[in-house]
Amino acid sequence: MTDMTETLTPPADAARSAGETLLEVTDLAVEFRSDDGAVRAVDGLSYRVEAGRTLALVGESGCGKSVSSLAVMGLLPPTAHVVGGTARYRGTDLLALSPTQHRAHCGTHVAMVFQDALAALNPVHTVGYQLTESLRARTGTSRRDARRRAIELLDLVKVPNAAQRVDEYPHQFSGGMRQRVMIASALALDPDVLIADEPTTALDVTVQAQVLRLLAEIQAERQMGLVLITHDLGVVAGVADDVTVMYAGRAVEQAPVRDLYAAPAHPYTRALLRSVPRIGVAEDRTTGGRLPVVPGRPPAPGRVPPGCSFHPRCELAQDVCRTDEPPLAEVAPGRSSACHFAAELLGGARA
Amino acid sequence: MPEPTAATTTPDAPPTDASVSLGGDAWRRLRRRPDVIVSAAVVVFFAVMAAFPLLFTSTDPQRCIIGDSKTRPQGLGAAHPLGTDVHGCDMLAQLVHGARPSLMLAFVVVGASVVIGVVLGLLAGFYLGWVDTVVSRTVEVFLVIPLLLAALLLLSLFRNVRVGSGAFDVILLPALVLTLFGWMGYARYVRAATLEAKNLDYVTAARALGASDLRVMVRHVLPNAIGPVTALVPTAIAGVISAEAVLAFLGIGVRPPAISWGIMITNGAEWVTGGYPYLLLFPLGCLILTVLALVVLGDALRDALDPRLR
Repeated sequence: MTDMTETLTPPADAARSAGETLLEVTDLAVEFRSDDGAVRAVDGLSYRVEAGRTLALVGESGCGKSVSSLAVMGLLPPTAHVVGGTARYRGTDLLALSPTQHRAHCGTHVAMVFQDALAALNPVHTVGYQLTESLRARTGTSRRDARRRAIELLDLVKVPNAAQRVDEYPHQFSGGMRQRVMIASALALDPDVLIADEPTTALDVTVQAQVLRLLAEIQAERQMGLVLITHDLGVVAGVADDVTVMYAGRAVEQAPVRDLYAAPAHPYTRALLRSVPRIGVAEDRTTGGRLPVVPGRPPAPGRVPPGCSFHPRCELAQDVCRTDEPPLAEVAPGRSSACHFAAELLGGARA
Repeated sequence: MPEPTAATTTPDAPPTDASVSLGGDAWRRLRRRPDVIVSAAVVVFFAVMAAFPLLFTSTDPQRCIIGDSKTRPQGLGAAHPLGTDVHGCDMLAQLVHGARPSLMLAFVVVGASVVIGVVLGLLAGFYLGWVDTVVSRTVEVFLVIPLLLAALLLLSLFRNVRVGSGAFDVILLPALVLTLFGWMGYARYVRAATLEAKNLDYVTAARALGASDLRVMVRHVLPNAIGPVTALVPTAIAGVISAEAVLAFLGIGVRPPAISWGIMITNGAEWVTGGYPYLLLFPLGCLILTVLALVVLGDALRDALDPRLR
């Protein structure tokens, strides 16, 4: 293991100390401009990624979790624009950089793993080529060294028989192996922060667990900051250190993972947690053995209701929720919630 | 944790070059197909003919004796193995000496058109916006101008320009005209394929690793967008050879005294019903053989090189 970290970790400047803040997103707002006017996909999102810790961004489809990470990477589609906020990588605001400067940070400092590994690997290039393309382009590594490095990377993500598979094409790999290749290619330049956008959605359950464990291992070993985007709270429990729950473009609850699972401080989080299937628990529920769901659908972007955006689906909704928007406020040390009744929720759980 | 042994031993494994093995693999695949071997032989045959015409005939194609006009094919060993044309010129000599201008014209025109079309199509599809507007409108303008009209215009422009009589000079004018009106198809196909490819995840993934526009275009979009073009090329070559005949009719084809298959086809076509079909069949046969061979080769090459078809 020491051998491998030596070969894979570039010299001193990339050293990371645990707890150091690597990426800090503050008040990020992203708008899509269409003929019907501007639509806010992300509205005042803030989070912080520290070295050696994993932050999970959790939410339903369309809540802005992917858009926010694309904004950080400078990969927003042409119709979307960042309209406010900063994303500081070690003090440098990535969003204020020119596209060329921003690009220089992508891959080297902040890298991303995509959801569908088959689509995210180019079918006409060998796996080895794709793993080290960035390396060769940036550092002028020779073909031979790049190939050796590609094999190391495949070993790192535990692709068996790396020396042979490095010359194969993506379609010759299984789904889980492709996702491993995606992770390896994101690690090629040893980034400080890795953003994984639903890395396990396209995989079956057993492979999901393997890939997540791998991500967690690599993250711990290299003291990277990991942003794990997912809609699956079951995934979060085993891997994340901190959780940010998003709803309709905003963070509604931020907490360390244990606290969040022990006592959710927002009714949305609570509803999400209840809807995670668990063996042996469903039977004794009052719902008669059926898995509870969050009623209704998330609001379409641009049609977010006034007041608390979650109130139409919330079981605790009162009149105040329909008119006043609750701010994201600290409700206990280290955790915050955007709910008028966060204190009651926490108190009720303790009682 | 992977065993340290795996990490320490693999880098010492002899590095085999990926591109070499791909090429070797393609070669093994090609060899197994008899149609490919026959096609390759045909192409090589005509290429040698174009390069060294004197290997095939010692008769001067311009030595025409009007008294020998329309001699029927006499078979090997005779004075005119394939007969003579209307003007009494030896058919074999004309066919052999016509190969070079015809093939060279075809390859120059298709090559230049593909380069222009691919570059413009790629830029238009990738950047859209004003680049796309300019390219797309230009394509449309060139598509609606009739080839013959434009050819006549260019002819009048270049009438007094003296070009030499080297192998390339005799095809310069038709090459110019045909390229000018030959690139639009490639541009459209590549633009469409680029539009499709550039939104795929692997392009975004390459960008996420910090790839520049040029790298994304050349390394990621182009290899996936070039497919339709490779299918067009063999038939385009045939098209160029026959289009040259039309230009020759207007006097801006291959410059006399050079001869080409296209000119022979045009001239021979008049006599098919008059009892002399061989005047058309020999040059047409050469053209069809060349084109069929190129189609088969192009197909086989694509099958062998595209990793997705394995």
